[in-house]
Amino acid sequence: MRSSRFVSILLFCLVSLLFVLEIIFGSVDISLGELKDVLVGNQLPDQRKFVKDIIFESRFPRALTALLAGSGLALCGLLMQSLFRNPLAGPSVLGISSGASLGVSLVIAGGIGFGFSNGWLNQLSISFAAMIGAFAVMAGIIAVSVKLRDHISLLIFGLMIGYLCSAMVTIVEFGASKEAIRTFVFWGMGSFAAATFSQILLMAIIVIAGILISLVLCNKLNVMLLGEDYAKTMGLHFSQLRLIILLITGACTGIITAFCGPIAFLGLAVPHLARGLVKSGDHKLLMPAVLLSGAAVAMLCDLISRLPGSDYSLPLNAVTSLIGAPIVIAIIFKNARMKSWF
Amino acid sequence: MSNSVLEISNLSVGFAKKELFNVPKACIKNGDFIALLGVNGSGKSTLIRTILGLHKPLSGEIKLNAKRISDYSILERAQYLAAQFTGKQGIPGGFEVKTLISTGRHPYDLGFGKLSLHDEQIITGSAESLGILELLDRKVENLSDGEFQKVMLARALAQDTPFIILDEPFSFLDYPAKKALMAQLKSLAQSGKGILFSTHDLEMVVPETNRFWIFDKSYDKQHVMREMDHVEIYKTGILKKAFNFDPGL
Repeated sequence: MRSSRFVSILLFCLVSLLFVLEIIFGSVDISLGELKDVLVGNQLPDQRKFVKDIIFESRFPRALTALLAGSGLALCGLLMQSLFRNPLAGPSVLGISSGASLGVSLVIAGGIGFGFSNGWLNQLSISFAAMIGAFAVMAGIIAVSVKLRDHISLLIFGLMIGYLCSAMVTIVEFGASKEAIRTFVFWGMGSFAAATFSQILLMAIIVIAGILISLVLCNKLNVMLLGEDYAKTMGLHFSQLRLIILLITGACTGIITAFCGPIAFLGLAVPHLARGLVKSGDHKLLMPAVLLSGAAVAMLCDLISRLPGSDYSLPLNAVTSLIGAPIVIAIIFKNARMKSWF
Repeated sequence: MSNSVLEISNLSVGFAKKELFNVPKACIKNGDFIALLGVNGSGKSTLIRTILGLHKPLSGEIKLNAKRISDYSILERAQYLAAQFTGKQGIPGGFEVKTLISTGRHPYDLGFGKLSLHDEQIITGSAESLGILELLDRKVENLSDGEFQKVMLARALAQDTPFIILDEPFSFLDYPAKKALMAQLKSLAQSGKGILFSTHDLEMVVPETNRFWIFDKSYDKQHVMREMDHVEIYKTGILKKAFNFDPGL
């Protein structure tokens, strides 16, 4: 108990530190003094006036996006792993992100064609389509999970759904305009940089709502982890909780994917990281650690992808995959042991 | 613990409209200690699942305190019937024993915060009555099968129900662990819980129990579950017929 509080405090400090680093590192480095001056409202020397714009227009929104997306995806990963009692569950590997991508691609391809490329209407339709896609895949996975009890089988099913969605995305792109394809390719690489203020606001509302509801559900998630039969005899409305999890994971994965692209592996990997840190499966201890380490890992990946000190940057998904894929491989190798965890 | 009665009458249980077995009449009260016996596939687990409300009967009634069990909300039902299923299958590791036992408080804890002092006392009390206080801080995955069954039983106790229903609690246990669990179940019944458990261990159960629910095919070819006591068991020779088991005299 005490150690998990210690872990949370430590993670909170790490998240704060990374947030500051997100703001000061980049193609233009900003000193801590300048950051302080901007925050307290001091005037900067004329040749550094643009720093204020960089901070408010670019770095701050980007850090905030990474924070929200990281926590949100990690939350989805935890909820899915607990619901399916499967250590290999996560929004990207089970095809939820791909479902969202399909929704987004339809809107981008169709939308630019129809000429409402920007503004609230487009934002809303993209988010809505992404969430619908995510909901649909998640509902399908839930339906199938009743039959495929084996961890690896469910994973393979999810991967196949992912491929199917990707194939459809390709077909949609085939008929899309050059401009739409360009937008879509960049979007598909994943990025925390592209979100606008209104997008961040929308994302914040949904992710924070998902987090608050999940925090309330910790005790029920513990009961759920004993399996459907036990859970029902202990008075848990199992299908109701499953529906809530469907809604949270669908909405959060959908909105994050809409604005940041399909981020690979983060949702799967972070809960394992958090379990290692708090050394417990109790959701009351695990949830804060998952949310904080999700934010930390997302910001760390974002920092790495910027290659500080250089003029180049890597696609975000390359970085999350480099970190996430080895974790999945490790889990598969350890699967015999992980079985006792679920 | 109030005086509760669970009554089964004319119950027909099966899958897809095909009857697997029927139960003309049976009942459990506080303090009952009942062994549910039957060969593999006779329907012991399905009967238990039906009583717990996890499986819909084809027809007939299960009444708890004169009210149909299906008319209780899932939460109310959990305040009357606690369950224990076979083995460690699917139980998550990573849980501390105390966390696992505390899930038994779910039917009473509608909030989301910490356990109340009352809950803490019940959890500690349950662990104490089964002699597993020293396990509370251990991890579930490090328990032996015998310890694990006791922990799950402590969870059922924490649920504070008049009835505890156990499906094959003795599987996977070695003989001393079986004896110990049997003694604990019996003393729980003496303290006023109504206990129903299914088992294959005739040698151990027949001398220790006075009431039996037995699946019997020998009667008029139908698969029927009947309630019997020792006398009837010997008179009918049912154990010999159903299990080829001679209880001796």
